[in-house]
Amino acid sequence: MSVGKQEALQNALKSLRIAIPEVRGALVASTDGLPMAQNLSGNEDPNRVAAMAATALGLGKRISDTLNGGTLTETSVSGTEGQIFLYAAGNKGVLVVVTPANVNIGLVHLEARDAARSIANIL
Amino acid sequence: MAVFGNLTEFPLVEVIGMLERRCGILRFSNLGSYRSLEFHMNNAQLQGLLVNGNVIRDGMQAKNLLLELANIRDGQFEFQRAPVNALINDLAIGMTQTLLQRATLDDEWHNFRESLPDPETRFTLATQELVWLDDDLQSFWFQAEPLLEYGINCNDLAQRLQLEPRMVLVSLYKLRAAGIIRPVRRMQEVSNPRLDIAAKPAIVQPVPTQHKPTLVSRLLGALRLIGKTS
Amino acid sequence: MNESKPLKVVISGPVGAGKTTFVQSLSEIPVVNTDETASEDIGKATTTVALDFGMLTLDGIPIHLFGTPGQDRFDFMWEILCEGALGLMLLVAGDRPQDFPHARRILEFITSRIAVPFLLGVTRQDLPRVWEPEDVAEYFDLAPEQVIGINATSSTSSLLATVRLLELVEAYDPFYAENLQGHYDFGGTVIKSVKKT
Ligand SMILES: Nc1nc2c(ncn2[C@@H]2O[C@H](COP(=O)(O)OP(=O)(O)OP(=O)(O)O)[C@@H](O)[C@H]2O)c(=O)[nH]1
Ligand SMILES: [Mg+2]
Repeated sequence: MSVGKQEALQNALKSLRIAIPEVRGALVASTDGLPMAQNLSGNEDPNRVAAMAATALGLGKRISDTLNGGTLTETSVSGTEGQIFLYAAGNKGVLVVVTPANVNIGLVHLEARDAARSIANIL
Repeated sequence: MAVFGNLTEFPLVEVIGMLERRCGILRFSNLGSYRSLEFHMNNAQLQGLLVNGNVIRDGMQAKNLLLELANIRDGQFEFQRAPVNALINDLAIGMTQTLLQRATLDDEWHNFRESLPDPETRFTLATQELVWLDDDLQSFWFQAEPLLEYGINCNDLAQRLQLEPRMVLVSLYKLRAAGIIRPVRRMQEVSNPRLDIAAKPAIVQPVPTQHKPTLVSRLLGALRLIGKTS
Repeated sequence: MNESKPLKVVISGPVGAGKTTFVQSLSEIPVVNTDETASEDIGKATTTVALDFGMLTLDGIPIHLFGTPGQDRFDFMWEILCEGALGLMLLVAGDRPQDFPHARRILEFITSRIAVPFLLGVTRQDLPRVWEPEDVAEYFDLAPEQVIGINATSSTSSLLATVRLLELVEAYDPFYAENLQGHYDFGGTVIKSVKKT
């Protein structure tokens, strides 16, 4: 991946985190599970997160196909301590956004879908 | 047809290990400074050696060559089976023992790195007899044996023995290459198997007579039927 | 106990071993596959990121066929999928000895932690230059009976391998499947243990 692309992805993640300060971490992975850019706050292994994101998105796509949901746009995982949103960024990338459990979901979607669109364009 | 590959994939000691029960000729081309090498081997014993087409009859020279090769990790090989009377027979060198002789931990780590087991994989004693071990490996073995008896992984072993995990992993690798330990198969530890699958796999015991056939036998029956009609 | 409860067979192994192909050769339903474009050079265009799912009905009993991804970064899927499986088919391409060390690590990682009967399948036996199953057995330290040669593109060959796997299960314990049926509950207990790293 070119340096310019890498930088553009990094900037997209940065502006997402500025727009929603509660976001705990964000990452862009390729659809085959390799990390492309990350802005994680904890000590999570980006390689692992990227692989899991690709798995979840890949599975989500097939579920959507099977149940006639059309093209998958996003899928999410909710826990007592946090929520993880996974957005399709075109057909090459996945955007992962980690938030606390009680976040304003509407706001997250609004900003993250925007970010996913610009990431799709970068890729 | 043949067993082939490259030393980039398998350290020499493993190539020899997997040919342990075979008789034939192991050929290398362009290995280190050697254009061609031929190992005539039977039961992991080096019986004859050809270097660039010349027969080597001196045991010391052959051993030194093996030790030199132990650290080379690039060279195509191919093994061809041959009857024992087709082999040169003027050496008798235990290849595994020679190749497992101690080197520095850094060298070994570097050399075996790609082939080392996962540090979470548990190992236990294999039934094979003890082969000759060098002093370091032997002292590791004496400490580790009681723990290995019940199956233990590298991380736990390093902690229990207060040893460097890298050193433990390399030692486990070498003991395994020497056939002294093997990975645990969890399957053999649980439930109450009627048969030890490693000792006697695929030998189908007559299923005890009962009113209903077992599920697996029903599956097998159906599978064999498809096999016949397809 | 419900007789037509599904059982599951897992197909694992390194990239390009033929896992997806094997599931496709056996399945009677269109295979749900999760292949995505490979962004690295792995010698083929796509790679599995979640699972392959196919199905085979034997004497009224549904057998779920789960293919795993092959790349190490997806190793969390191996254990998720192997839980409660009737058997594990580990595939390795017979013309790619460079994959054997990795395949051996996968097999040992799984089988030293999870109790599952397994068979090692050496694929691409239809090609001229491949390792024979009995030589591969020596490398993996397995009895020759636990290794079989396969052409994963052929349904007949894939069926034969499945027969051999079930024979191993039967030899191990004729009631293995009965004991399992309570265990494997599609979509339920399957996802109960995720590997911790
Ligand atoms: N001739 C031949 N080709 C095979 C055989 N098995 C697989 N192939 C081919 O090998 C290629 C890779 O097979 P896949 O089934 O995608 O491999 P995979 O194990 O699912 O790979 P990943 O999902 O990336 O881990 C395909 O082009 C298959 O057609 C075989 O037994 N013989
Ligand atoms: Mg696949």
